Parts: sequence; C-alpha cells; structure tokens
Amino acid sequence: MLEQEHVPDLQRDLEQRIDTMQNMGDAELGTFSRLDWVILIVFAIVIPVIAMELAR
Amino acid sequence: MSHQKPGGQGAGHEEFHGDLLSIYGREPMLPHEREYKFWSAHGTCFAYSIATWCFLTGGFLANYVGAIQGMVCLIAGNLIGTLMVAASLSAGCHRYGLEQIDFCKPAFGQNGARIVLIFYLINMIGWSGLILVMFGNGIVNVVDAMGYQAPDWLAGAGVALGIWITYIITTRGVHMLSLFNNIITPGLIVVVCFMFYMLVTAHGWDEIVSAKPLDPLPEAWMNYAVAVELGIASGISWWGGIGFLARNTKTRRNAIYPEVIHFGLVNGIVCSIALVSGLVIGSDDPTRWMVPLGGLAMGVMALVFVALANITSTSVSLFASGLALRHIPGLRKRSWKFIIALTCLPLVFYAIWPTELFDMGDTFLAYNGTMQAPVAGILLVDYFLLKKQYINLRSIFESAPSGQYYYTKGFNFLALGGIILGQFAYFGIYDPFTDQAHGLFRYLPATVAAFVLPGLVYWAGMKFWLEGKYEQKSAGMEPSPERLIEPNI
Repeated sequence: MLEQEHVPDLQRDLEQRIDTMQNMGDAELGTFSRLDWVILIVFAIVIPVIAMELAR
Repeated sequence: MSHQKPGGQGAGHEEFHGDLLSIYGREPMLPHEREYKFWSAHGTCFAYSIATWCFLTGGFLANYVGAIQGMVCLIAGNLIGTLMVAASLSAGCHRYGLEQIDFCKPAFGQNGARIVLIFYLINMIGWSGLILVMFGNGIVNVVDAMGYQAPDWLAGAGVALGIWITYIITTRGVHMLSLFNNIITPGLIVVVCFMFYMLVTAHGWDEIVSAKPLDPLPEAWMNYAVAVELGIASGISWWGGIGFLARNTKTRRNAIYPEVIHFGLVNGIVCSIALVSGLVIGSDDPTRWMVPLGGLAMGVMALVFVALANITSTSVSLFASGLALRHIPGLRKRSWKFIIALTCLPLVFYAIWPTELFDMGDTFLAYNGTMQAPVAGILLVDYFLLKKQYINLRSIFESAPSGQYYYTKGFNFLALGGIILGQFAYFGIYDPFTDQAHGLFRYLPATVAAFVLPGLVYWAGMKFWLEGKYEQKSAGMEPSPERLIEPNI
C-alpha cells in the first residue's frame, strides 16, 4: 500500500508529467505527416474496399 | 524520481516512484520510459496477432465462403477494422501517454468511462480465458500426438499452467513481455510459413481454391456479406489492446504502423491458414492437423510455438486489464502483483470448467464485440473532429466538477447513448445469433453501421447542442487551478 506521506509526492509527480506531456511538441514524439495518413488510408481502406468489391 | 528498470523490484512496494506508476499504473507515460522501439513494436504486435483466435475466425469463415473470397474478406476486413479502431486510440494514447480508459474520458466523461471499463474488462478477461483453454487443448493434442492417452483433467491443468506463466510474465513488466516476444517471434514466422507450405504441398492450390464452403446459408449473397462482416469485426476486436501498445511506443509511426500491419495484414493471413485448413481438412484447429501433416517433430514444435503465442496474447490482455483496474479507487495504490492476481482470478473458472466455458464463450464474446464498434466510432469523431487532437490532460485526472470532462455528474449521456444506438444499428442490420439480416446488409456491414451512425449522431449532438452548453457551464465556474483538486490517481 502507498504510505500516506507519499501522496503529495505522487500528486506532484503527476502534475509534472501532465505539464511535460501537455507542453511537449508533436515533433518530439516522432514525425507523422499527412502523407502517413494517406498511406494508411490507401493501404487499409481504399485497396481493401476495392479488393472486396472485385471478389464479390 | 526513480529510474529503476521496469523488470526490477518495482512491481512491489516501490511503486509510488514516478517511473513505476506510469508503467504499472495510469500516470502519463513519458517518452524515455516507453519500451517499444521499431523492432520491439513489430515483434510484440506480430506475436500478439498470432493467437489461436485467428484460427477460430478463419475456421468460422470456412462455413460460408471458399478460399479466395474468404482470404480477401479476412485480409481486407482485418485491415479496415484495425484502422477504424487504431486511428484515434493509437494517436491519442501515444501522444499523451494515456491508458486506454483514460483516453475515453474526453468523450464519455469521468464516470461514463467507467461504464466502458466494465465492458472492456469483461471482454479482455473473457478473451484471455478462451485463449488459455486453447493453450490447454494444445497441450492435450501434443500429448495425443506423441502416442499417449491425455487424461480428462489435462486441458484444465494446461489452463492453470497458462495462468501461472502469464502471471510471471505480466508481473515482470513490459520489458519482460518485449524480451519474450523477441524470442518467440522468429520461431512464429517460421511456423506460420511452414503451416501454409504444408497445406499447399499436401493438397495443392487447385484443390484449395475449388473447395466448397462447409455449411453455407441458403441465400448466396448472405454468405459473402457475413464473410465481410466477420472480417471487419475481427479487425475491430483489436480495440482492447491498441491503447496499451501505443502508449508504450516511442514514436507515432511505431505506434500505428505495426498495429495496422500485424493486426490487419498478418492477422488476416494467419486467419486464412485456418480458413484453408477448414475447407480442405475439415478442422480449423492447427493443433489437430499439424502433426499428421508435418510429422511429429515439426508438428510438436509448431504446436509449442502456437501455445507460446497464446501466452503472449494473454499477457498483453492481462497487462492492459490490470492498468484499467487502476480506475477503481480501492485498487489505485495496490501492488502490481496484487492487481494481476486479481485479473487472473476469474480465469481460474476456465481451469475448472474449460470445455463448458469454451462452448459458451463465442456467443458471449460475439455480443461483447458489438460494443466496440460504437465506442471506436465515437472516439474517432471526438478526438479528430471535436477535440482537434487536443486533450486537456489535467481534466483527465481531475474528478472535481470543474474538470472539463465532468459533463453531467461525470457522464456524457450523448456518448453513452451512442453505444446503445450502435447496438440497435448492429442488430437492426444483422443478428449474428439467428443469421437474420436486413436488405441493407448486402451493401453495409453491421459493424460499419454500428461504427458510423453513433459517431455521426454524437458529432452532430456535441457540435450543435452540448458543446456550447458545456462551454457555458465551464465559463461560469472558477478557472482551472494550477493544482488538481481531486486527482483520481
């Protein structure tokens, strides 16, 4: 069990994490451009739908 | 802040340290704490995707369609379904380091997300139980293949062994899970290729493509429509594991691409092996036909790897379930070992009554699966169209009414109503229990309807009605303080 005296530490740690993640730029988590979305949509939606229609 | 490695002693008493509470708890996970880089993300997704649930799905399709139509539906359907659920969950959980149920709060509300949590836990633990029974059955088949008579209790004992191994892996953290996957993934790739090779050489491609479905429905169009439906539903059913995996990856590309490739494409291919074996051998269970087809040594090795893949899948499911249990106030600060033991507790019933629960399981889980489509549709609309990919992280962890996601007494009834609407949409188009379908089913899979309709209604309701109302309510309150008033961690 968590000791009572650690609760302020825990809340402080949570607050720091919230600030860090909220203020972090998207680029710090790796680039992901519109081209990535286009690739995913073509690969996982457009081609599969066409394949399903052809196989019908 | 502690920088102890996740595989260390941290699952016990030292969990109040920041690093460990993010790994074994719900705190936002910082980039340096995340386990999965390129190869480990691919390895984990690959191993997770090859559980024996693939063989169940593929074998089920053999009842309705032939090999070509079935393969297209399985691969294409899994790709479509996976992207439908992964787009928002993967992006949001990765960007903010959030646990999956926390990511539901901006749409469903602080307390509304707990309703999603109930379905989530039932679904994840139910699936884990079924996979462990298949792990137990695999042991029985290995013993039979070696010429011994497996006793009746062996399947249940196998489930108990599976629970124990899963407990050991899960309590040692994501790092151990990643190591385990790195070891078994190369073997699994060989086994999958070997299975397909054995089927094609033993039966020939011509026999495979000309094989007739085993138990087709009377109306021809219904068979293909059901196959499409099952393919997409299979992809949607990855909903439970997406957030956990994305949260643990270092870059966004490593979060979403491996999920789509492995849960969509690879899973579709492995399902196709079961489809083909179902069509030409009459059994979708590889633990039954691998030994006769591949010989004792290769067959047993294949069975062992398939069994290990089941352990991986169960471990990921239990890890995600354990994190989700942290939403229950009494469990937030308990040790990780206690939490995982708690998730294992319902699985004990599968060790006692493996056959009985397995026989009831598919109907129960088919119903649970229909819940995931509307939740995924609402989350997609909420994250991309309404929140514009911006989440107020402070409000996720704020239980006080001043939190942005408190809505009405902690519930967003519009989003929760969307789940019910999705159920009506699904069963109005197709009833999987009776195989009755509306004419629309020919063109519109029920899962897609249950995904799109609640999403549209939710978007319109929030955009033109509730969003302004809640903004006015927040404007009348005190501005958000710098510190959390009622942190829910």
